[in-house]
Amino acid sequence: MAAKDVLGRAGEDRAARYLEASGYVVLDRNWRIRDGELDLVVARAGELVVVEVKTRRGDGFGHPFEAVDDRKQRRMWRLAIAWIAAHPDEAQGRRLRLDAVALTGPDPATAVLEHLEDLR
Amino acid sequence: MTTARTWAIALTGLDGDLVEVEADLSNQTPEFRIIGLPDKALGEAVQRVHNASANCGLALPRRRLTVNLSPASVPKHGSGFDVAIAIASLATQGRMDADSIAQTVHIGELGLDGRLRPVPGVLPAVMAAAREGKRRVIVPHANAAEASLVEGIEVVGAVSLADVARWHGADVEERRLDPVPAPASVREQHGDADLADVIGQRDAVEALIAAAAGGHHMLMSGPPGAGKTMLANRLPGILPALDDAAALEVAAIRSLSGDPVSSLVRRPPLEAPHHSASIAALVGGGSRVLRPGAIARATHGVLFLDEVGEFPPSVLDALRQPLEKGAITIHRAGVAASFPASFQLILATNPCPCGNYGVRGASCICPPMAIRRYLGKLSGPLLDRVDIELGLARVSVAHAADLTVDAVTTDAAAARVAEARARAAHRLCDTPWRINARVSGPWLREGPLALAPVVRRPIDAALQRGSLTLRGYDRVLRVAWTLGDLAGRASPSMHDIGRALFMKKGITI
Amino acid sequence: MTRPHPREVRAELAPLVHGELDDERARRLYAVHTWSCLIEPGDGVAGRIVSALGPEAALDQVVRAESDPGVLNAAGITPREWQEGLDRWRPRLKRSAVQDALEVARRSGISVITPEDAQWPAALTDLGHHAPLLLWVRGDVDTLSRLSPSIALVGARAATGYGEHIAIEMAAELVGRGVSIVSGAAYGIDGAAHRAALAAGGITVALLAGGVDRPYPAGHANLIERIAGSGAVVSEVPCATTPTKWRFLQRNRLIAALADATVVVEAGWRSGSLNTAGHAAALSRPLGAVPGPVTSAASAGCHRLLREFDARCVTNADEALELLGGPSPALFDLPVEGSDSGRGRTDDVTRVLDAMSFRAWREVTDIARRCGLAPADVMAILGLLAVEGAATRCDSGWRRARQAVPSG
Repeated sequence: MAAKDVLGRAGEDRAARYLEASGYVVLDRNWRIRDGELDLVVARAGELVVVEVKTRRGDGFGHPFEAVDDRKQRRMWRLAIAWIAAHPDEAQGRRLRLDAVALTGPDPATAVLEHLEDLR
Repeated sequence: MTTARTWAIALTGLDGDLVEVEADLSNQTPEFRIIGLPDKALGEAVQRVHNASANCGLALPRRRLTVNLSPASVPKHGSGFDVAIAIASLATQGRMDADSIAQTVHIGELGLDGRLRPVPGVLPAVMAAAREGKRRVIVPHANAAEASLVEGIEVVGAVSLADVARWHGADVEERRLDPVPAPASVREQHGDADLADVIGQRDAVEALIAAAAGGHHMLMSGPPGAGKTMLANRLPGILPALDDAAALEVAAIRSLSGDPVSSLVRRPPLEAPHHSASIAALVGGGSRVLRPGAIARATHGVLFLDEVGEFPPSVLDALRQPLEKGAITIHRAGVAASFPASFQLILATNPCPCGNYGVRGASCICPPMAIRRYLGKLSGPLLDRVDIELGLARVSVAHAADLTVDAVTTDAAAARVAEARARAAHRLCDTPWRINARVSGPWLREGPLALAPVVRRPIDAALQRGSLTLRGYDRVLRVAWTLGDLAGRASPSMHDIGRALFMKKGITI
Repeated sequence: MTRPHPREVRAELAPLVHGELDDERARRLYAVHTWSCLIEPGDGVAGRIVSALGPEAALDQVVRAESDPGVLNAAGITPREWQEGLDRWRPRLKRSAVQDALEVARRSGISVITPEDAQWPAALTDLGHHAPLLLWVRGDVDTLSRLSPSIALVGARAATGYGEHIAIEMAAELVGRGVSIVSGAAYGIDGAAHRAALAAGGITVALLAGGVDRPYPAGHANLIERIAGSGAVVSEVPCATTPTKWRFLQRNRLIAALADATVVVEAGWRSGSLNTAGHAAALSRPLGAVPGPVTSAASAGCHRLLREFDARCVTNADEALELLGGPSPALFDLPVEGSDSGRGRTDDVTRVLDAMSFRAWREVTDIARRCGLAPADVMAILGLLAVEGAATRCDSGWRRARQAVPSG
């Protein structure tokens, strides 16, 4: 596995642990279809949240959130709807939301974690 | 999430509007957007603010920043909003005193290195800020002197964005940077030209003094070397010094032209555009900021057009509006800006294309048609405005020596002009005019100060005969009043009318 | 008829004269006035006897009906002339008439002047023994002594529009050149000339055939009032005298004598203004006449003057001025700066013209040096000459121009 992927995987782990600690239930990880991949799908009470996780060593190439641009967000919505179609029971009665989690630092375990809710 | 607001000024010509710069930070993916009708330069502000902040050790928040410049309906041009945008954006993170920022107007462009760069038009912008009741303005260091000319507002000159932030209470490391200097001045000064330098042209000097005393537009005709340029250059020196309001307006126009301004100049300006200058150079324009042209820069002073016959007709036509209304309007990209353009016009022409027509001892090689065409450009609306026409001949060296004795100095002439002007202003105090050149013909002919029939009989007779047009008649009256003022008379005598006729040559074609 | 008491005489005359009135002057004036009540204007015999003996002694001769041959001889009067004179005058020897005339004059604010007074117009001496013995004046007495240069504009009462137009234009233009206008206040040309002169702010004098207290014609009462207001209304006959044909004709000789030249603007073949022209010719005064269409009877008199009386053809004010002698005698009033107006205006303009050439272009400083005037004054004169067309310029300087024939 590439170092980048190791970092990315470690970042997703950290993000999942954080979300669980915040009261979310992780419903799915790395759900992939031809169009793309959802990093995390979590839920809490009436909210169904699709989360994009970005991990960076530093912000030399820009802030992690800058990568979650409009195009990315549109694709996330499409993928989210596809996931709901594939998992109707879990989606039942829940409102859909897009979030992003950024981890900045050389070690994901100690990296700065930022959580952006409800991307528009 | 959080908002912060501060102020900037949008200039349309010399008029400034207050612009509220409001920055809103929302918890969204990073983006930096400026809304409220910015033009291209303004749009590039994003890049400048970004880099400037980073280089000052002040990071912009990594979230969505929306900066609104309102009111949206006021057109905003140029890079002078950079500092306001940067400060408002940085303030959304709460590191600066919100009140301090909200009460301050910020003007200036940001270099990528974070230093404030001077912009044109700071003086009129600060004047507008003061007029709108703002009490404090921060400007680039190089513009501080000109901004300080405005009363009733505190001026802070800043070298870098970090200085500005620190001023508002941010905890930023201080770094000593060299301020960006003001642009170098390109205009020549004529401070040492004295009227006494003009040798032997006694009636020309008297005509110049009369032109100055009454504010009359003047045409000089003569061969090259006769001294036309010399005379024109000496006119500002004998005109009355500019009062505060006029001096401030002249300085504001110079500021908007991009010239460095550090003090109020009291000498009336002299603009002498070359006949090859574009119409934009005369009228004003510019792709981004509306820059005043030579016409506006000549306000309260003198516009000298040498070899007026060589100017393209479209350029001469552009003089019509300012001569009539005392203002010039420039249209650019849907925006109309009006500049004051109230000046004294001095025209100079050679007698013919080769310059030798009518010159003693020289022979003219121009075919008659060429002379007619050359001088023909002068006829019509432009000549109509000229009250004094002067023919100049070259002064032979032989005469030069004994003619210096009577030379009139600038100081002496200026004193005579000032006295004559005071006389006229006093006489015209109940009218809308202050100088004789502006007084309406019908009022002079039929108003309370109309001359006795006996005094004006020669021109009445000439008018009847057709050797004087009605406009010519009025011009003679105006100049006669000026000559009367110079002589200290209560009203013009036949002598003054005779001399006014003498000064109304009529170019012979 | 007894002589009145000197004190009474002084009292009666004092309001009518200017200056000191001592007993001797009062008696003389009273005698002259009495004479003017006795004679018709232009009485040469009276003129001679008064000239020979003085008014009082001459009057004595009439009162006592004396005929001293020595006196008559010395005065150049034949016995027959004298007898005829006595026959004419004695019936009018009425004290009451003399006094009434004075009374009317006093009431109307009228002045009287005699040849001894400073204000007496010197031009009238050309009439010799036919000169008036005194003049009654309504208005400013001093006007008469500053009349020059003056031109009499006279013409038909039945003037055409053309004639009136010419009279108006000429009077206005002449006034603008500093010329006074003399005329007879009649309808037609006279009235038009007076009115134009007044409108242009100039000096105009009206000579009347009757007493100055009664405006004639009545239709010009207002005009005569206005002339008295700014100029003078003059007559040689006492107040309350009615105008008669003889007195009209004699009045005309005063018009011709008083003015420096006479111009007949429009006159029919038999117009009374031809009489004025005749007087002018007899006095060797310059005479001008304005022609009209040869088909117009209203101008026939003028044409006659041109043929038979050697009148000069005058078509505008410039040509009228030529009658006064010199091309530009009073073009414009140009007091030279810094000096009193003792220097004549003619001088300066002529000096400038003389310093200029018809061929060579000369600059202002050159002209100023040649004629000895300040450059500023030269410039003023050149400006005025230029607008008249008498001088032209180019970049090299100025020169004289032959004035073009006026168009239109």
